[in-house]
Amino acid sequence: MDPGVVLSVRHLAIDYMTRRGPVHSVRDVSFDLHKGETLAVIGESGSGKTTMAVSLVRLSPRAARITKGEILYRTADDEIVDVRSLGTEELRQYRWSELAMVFQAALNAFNPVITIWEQFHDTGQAHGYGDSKKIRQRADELLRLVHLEPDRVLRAYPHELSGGMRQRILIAMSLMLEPQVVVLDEPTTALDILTQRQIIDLLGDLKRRLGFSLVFISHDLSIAAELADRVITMYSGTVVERASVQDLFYRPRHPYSVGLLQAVPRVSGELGSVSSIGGSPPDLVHLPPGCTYEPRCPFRIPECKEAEPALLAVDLPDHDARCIRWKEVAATVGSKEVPIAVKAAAAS
Amino acid sequence: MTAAAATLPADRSGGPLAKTLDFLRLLSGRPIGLIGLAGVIFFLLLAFVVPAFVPYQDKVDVTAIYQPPSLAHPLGTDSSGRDVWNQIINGGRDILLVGFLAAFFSTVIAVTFGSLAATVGGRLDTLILGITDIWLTIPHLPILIVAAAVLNLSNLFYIAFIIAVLGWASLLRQIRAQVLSLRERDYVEAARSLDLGLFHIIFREILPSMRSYIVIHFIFAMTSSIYAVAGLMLLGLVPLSGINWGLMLNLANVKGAIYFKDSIWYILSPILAIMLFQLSLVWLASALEDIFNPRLRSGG
Amino acid sequence: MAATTPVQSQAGFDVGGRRTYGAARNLFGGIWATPIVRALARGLLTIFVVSTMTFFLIRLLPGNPVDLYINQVIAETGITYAQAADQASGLFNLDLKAPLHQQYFDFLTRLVRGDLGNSLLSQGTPVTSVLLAFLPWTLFAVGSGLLLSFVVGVVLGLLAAYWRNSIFDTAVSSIGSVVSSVPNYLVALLFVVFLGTQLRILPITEMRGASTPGIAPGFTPAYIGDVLFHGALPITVYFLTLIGHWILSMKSATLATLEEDYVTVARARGLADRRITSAYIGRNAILPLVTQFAISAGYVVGGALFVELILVYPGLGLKLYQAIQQRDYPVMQGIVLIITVSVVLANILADLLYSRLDPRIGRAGGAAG
Repeated sequence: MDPGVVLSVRHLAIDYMTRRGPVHSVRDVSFDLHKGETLAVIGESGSGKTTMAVSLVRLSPRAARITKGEILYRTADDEIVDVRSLGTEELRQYRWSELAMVFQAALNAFNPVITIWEQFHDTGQAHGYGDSKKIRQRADELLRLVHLEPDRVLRAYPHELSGGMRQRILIAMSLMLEPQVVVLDEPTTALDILTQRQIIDLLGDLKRRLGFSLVFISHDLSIAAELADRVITMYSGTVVERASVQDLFYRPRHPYSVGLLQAVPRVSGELGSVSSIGGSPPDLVHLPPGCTYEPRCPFRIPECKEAEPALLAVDLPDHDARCIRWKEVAATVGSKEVPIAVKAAAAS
Repeated sequence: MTAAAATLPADRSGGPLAKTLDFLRLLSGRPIGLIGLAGVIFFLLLAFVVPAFVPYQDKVDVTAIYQPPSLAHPLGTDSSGRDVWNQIINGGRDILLVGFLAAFFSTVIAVTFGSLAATVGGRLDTLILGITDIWLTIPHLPILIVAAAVLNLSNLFYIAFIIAVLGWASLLRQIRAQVLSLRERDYVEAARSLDLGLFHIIFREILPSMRSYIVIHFIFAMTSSIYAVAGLMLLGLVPLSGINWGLMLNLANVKGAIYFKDSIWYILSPILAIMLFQLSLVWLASALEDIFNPRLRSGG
Repeated sequence: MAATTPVQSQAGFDVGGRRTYGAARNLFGGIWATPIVRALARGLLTIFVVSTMTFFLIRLLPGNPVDLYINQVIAETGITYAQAADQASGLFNLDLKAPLHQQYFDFLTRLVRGDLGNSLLSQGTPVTSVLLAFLPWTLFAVGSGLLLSFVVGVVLGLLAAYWRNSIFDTAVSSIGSVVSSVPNYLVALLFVVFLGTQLRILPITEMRGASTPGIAPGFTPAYIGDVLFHGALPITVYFLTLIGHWILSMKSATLATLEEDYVTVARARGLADRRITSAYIGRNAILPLVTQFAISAGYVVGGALFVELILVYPGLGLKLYQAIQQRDYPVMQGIVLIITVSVVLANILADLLYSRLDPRIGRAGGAAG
């Protein structure tokens, strides 16, 4: 593992046991997260992104099983930890203090029958901080960081606060133990557009101030454009493209990424210029032998059906795509810093 | 009207026979439910069909008091030498009939007013809910017992009616809650916007999709009304005619049969009869709940 | 059994937990919004309804005891109707010459003053003193049985949910549901017949009554032990017939709570299992059971009659049975009333407890900013 990498996921695969058979919801996901980096994991629902994220703290549901792969974490003391082999107590300590996993449902993320203060207190106590005063100081500090008033919020019960407030409290709480990695699953999905703006700004601000590494899962490309340093796109349980944010938006090399980008409606676009990706995702129980995107891919050739490609390095540094036709994609897309939709409009 | 089918389990077209076989197939995955169904059918036959062939024999034989089971007397004899098995056969009818009628009346009241309250809402809902809440707090059994003592009830319908009038409250709340949850469904909204009228909405849209819910709770209501009427008989307050399981219990208690060693078959028979029938009802209803209420299903 | 109490329904929660706002809330504004006031009002209304019911049962319906008594006296002694009516008045504490609504009003005023009349049997013994002699035993046996079954049932239910589909779960759930389906009088009968008569394990006849005559009442170990000895059977019957319900309810409430997001988040926060079980799962899962506890109190007290009769335990239930045998109508009326009052109090207590435990009830809450 490179010295600058704080979290490394290698060839992770997760199956869900169902009556129909094992559902391969995560198949071969690999990525490295560097210190202080923001990584966006982009994919449709069913792409396996949440399943993968939840496995980073081993909170997958009972029916899910990690079948292969490694999750390696580098502590602040430069020790490499194999997350999959952590014991119960070590795992409990690892959670939240090393890697904080913030779920999408902030609406119901808090115990409804105890106050917000008690929940902060619980978090502190669980990780060995017995002094209530210190916990209180820390909570005050964090709540102010997310622009909330500590006195009012700490005394309240969850149902007395709005969704946006609860999301911010959860983010504040996630930073309580100064984790090196914060994982946010769909941080803005359940919120209205104004609150979304606030949360995105807040996240950017916190990152600049505190310097943690951030992974966020989303289907929303625009949030990636605002916050991410690097992006990975996931499709049918596997990573199909890994690139810097600039590369992905201006110089994608996988047809799925291109499709995603083209599907985003532009404010300045003409009526009727919105496109979408035809077809639907594959059945994760009975997967085709070749590339799983092939049925919907405009670049497909007969060879695509034969075998699923590995992640191939493309013509740009630190950029991989799981496509044997990446050169053709590159030719179509080019390398200039112009938005994809404009290029598409120009081409047609 | 086929919009209601969206919420039912796969509505297969086919005659009553096909539907029955379908139902049995579903039930076969739940052995407890099958046993329950078998038990219910057994006791229904025993109480209503068999007496036509084996009428009540009031043959007193003082030389054969509290005899253990034998070929002549499969369950032994009672304090006057009468055959216990004969009494068991003829003793179920009154209890089961009252149980059924009381549950039926209860269900009618609960369904009518519960769905009305939930569909109309507003002041009517508050009123019905208020009455229901008070009714729920009233201790049904003591009042039932006092009423039975004071009124000297001898008519089956009357007894069932009083039990129902006292006991509809809990069922009404459940029906109302269920209707409330269905009220927001699309097909109800559609019916409402088409101005199809209150009764249409209740009786042709909402209630049909609650069929299984109502049946299940009807069965549970039966268990509580049987508890009530058997209890009344145990106290000797509603002897009705001839012989019944509750009366056997009463006689056993009053005549001290529970303290004699020899009379064990006499006392055990009605106990087992009532107990096994109640268990069968509960098992059947639980299995039905399991089938028709997907939320309770484990796994998947 | 329904899952919500009257207070909860006024606060707007139905069985599914969804908020449905009743018009009454808006009608009376401020004061009405307090759970206590609403609960008290409902309680008083209930007592009023029950006392009216008993009044009409005894006085008004055809074949009612007062008329029967009058006819019987006339038949036996040949006195005039007026004289018989006078006698009946004295006995039933009713002024039979006055118009009906006047009688009813007198009845209510006396009730408010706590005057329940005199027992028909022992002339001059007020019904209240009769009740006070028997009430404590019923409260003791029913209360202990309820409490024990609740505590044990809740723990077993929680464990059954945690170890779902294990042998423990299957055993506990099925035994629980079987036993709770059996009517309490049958359980009592089975106890007497098997443990007493057949197998002679327990000294049934000695266990009758609430205490042994020779032992003086007081907080002595001897007396307490004796009381427990006599109360053991009724308490056990209540325990067995109730525990199944708690096990199954707690199991399903816990299973539902385990799926809640805040439990997953609590795990992600690295909280210890013990804390999650007590404060995150336990405190939430138990909420619906608190209200069920109140409602079940009513059912159990009502059904106590059977148990006390069969086990010969001198509580209100047994006294009610005796009063019925002896046609002692004032006592019958008094017992029904006192049972109602106990149930109403139990409900009020449970509502108060619930509003303490669940901060979402009874607060002027709602999303703010």
